[in-house]
Amino acid sequence: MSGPAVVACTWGVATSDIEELLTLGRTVAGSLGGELRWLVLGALPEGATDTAGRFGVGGVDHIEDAKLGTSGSDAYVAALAQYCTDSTPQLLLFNQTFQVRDAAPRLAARLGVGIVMNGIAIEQDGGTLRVTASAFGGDTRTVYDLAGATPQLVSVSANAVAPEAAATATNPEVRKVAVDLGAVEERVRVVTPPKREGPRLEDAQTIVAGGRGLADAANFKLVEELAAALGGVAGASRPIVDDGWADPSQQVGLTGKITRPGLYIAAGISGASQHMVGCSAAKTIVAINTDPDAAIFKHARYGLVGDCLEILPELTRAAKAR
Amino acid sequence: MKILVTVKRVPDPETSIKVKPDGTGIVTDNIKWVVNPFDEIGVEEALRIKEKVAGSEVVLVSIGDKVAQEQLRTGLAMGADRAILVLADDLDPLGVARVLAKLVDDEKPDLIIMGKQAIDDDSNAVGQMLAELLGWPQGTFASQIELSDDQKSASVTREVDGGLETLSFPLPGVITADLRLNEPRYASLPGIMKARKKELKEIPVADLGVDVTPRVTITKMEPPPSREAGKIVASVEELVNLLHTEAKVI
Repeated sequence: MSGPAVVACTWGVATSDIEELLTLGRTVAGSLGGELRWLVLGALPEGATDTAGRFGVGGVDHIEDAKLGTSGSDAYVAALAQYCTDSTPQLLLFNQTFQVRDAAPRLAARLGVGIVMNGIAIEQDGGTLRVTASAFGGDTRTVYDLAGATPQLVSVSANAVAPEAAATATNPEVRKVAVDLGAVEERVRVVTPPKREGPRLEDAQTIVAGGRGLADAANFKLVEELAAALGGVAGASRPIVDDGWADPSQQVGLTGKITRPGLYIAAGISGASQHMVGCSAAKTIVAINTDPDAAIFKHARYGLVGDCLEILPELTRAAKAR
Repeated sequence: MKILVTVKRVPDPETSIKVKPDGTGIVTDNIKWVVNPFDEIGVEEALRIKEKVAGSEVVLVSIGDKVAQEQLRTGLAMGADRAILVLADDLDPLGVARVLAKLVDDEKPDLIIMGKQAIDDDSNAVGQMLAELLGWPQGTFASQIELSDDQKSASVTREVDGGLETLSFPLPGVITADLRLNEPRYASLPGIMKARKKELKEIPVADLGVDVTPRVTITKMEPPPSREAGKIVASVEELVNLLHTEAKVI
């Protein structure tokens, strides 16, 4: 029996990420004329059956094991490899989290199959899967053809697609899938788990981000004050994180956080492509910069030419007055 | 201890990359080629370990065209001991990982340090694939590395989704370097002179007997879609009004 066309694999991600992946998976499965399944590793998210139905999933496969949930990738790779051997899917999709970046390439190497990271779009051409991915820090897009053994793997960038429910809802069942992880010995031990403090940039609806235009570390508070007045989160460009004006966890961009707020205010940021990778999915970008030729104005819906040191406090006052 | 470090030849990150009109690749005229910045950080980290652990050896590996000699010489000038260049065209990540795994079989290093990704394809896959092929543990996105006194295990602090995390695992292993791991040194003039005499071995990929059939091939390259230019507003007041009435985000 041939397996499902597409399996969207998720663990430990937000509902919006799952919805994006299921939307992309449904489109690709449709173009391949096959079924989309959703594989959940670890705890089943709240309302999983409902989400699966709305997004046109044929069925939910659920793998739960005490060995999943640690930071190491060994258990995930073993579970996914067994699943692929048993279920023979054509294409496996992942949200590109840090855990997926650790596990998915290992899975590809174990199975001897192809993988594309940073995937943005997938289409099929005569049965060959063609994947568009970002490259050169967002300066270009590369289109790859996947060949050879299946399953083929694609790790999908955040915000690659907008979630869209299926035209016709399905009524999927949850199937428990047993895997044997008895032989897995996790060699990687977590000494200090990541600290989760405060709201995440990735989830923020409003972000105010500052760059070199702030001129001094002390002025980062102007960014924080506007963010607070708008009920948002403060972000930073890489140069000022490197200089210690802001914390690495606040960095937006290729080597930092990939965000998707409704409103992104870039203050004193030039708009290098590496930064734009982290905020180009924002619905509305506002640029504040003294240089009218700064690249950021090409990306912004609204631009204000001027010194952010004067404009930020003015915006904070205006936001508080609303 | 023996440390293997990968060195990929990539366009200078300061270069603005343009796609050729026919989509067959990037425009390479006037491009300066450098060591992948994340690999350069890997070389620096290996040299720092060598300075602490007596009797260590740092071996560089590159895969690609003969011109990648330049980047290997840069690494040798920084202080690495010798270099291997595998001559091969257009390998996919799994092909690269398989070639590296074969070299590891021959060289038997205690530690492999690689950049977390190359800044050309941004793929971020080869380190993990290599660890899998070797059956070794991995510490990716390292912003700090500490080896135990007996060099039998490594502790790696890494920047992940939720913040900073510290892992510990037995060696041999694969560590991939993130931006904030260190500031690479510049090659000194004596270093550059010495590098000319250091061993740089070239191996045609066919001599390794490794299956490098690509699973992933590049069909074409495209510039990213351009965003419609927005409007320049005159004042904070106008901006706030537009954000409220037009964009409806505040």
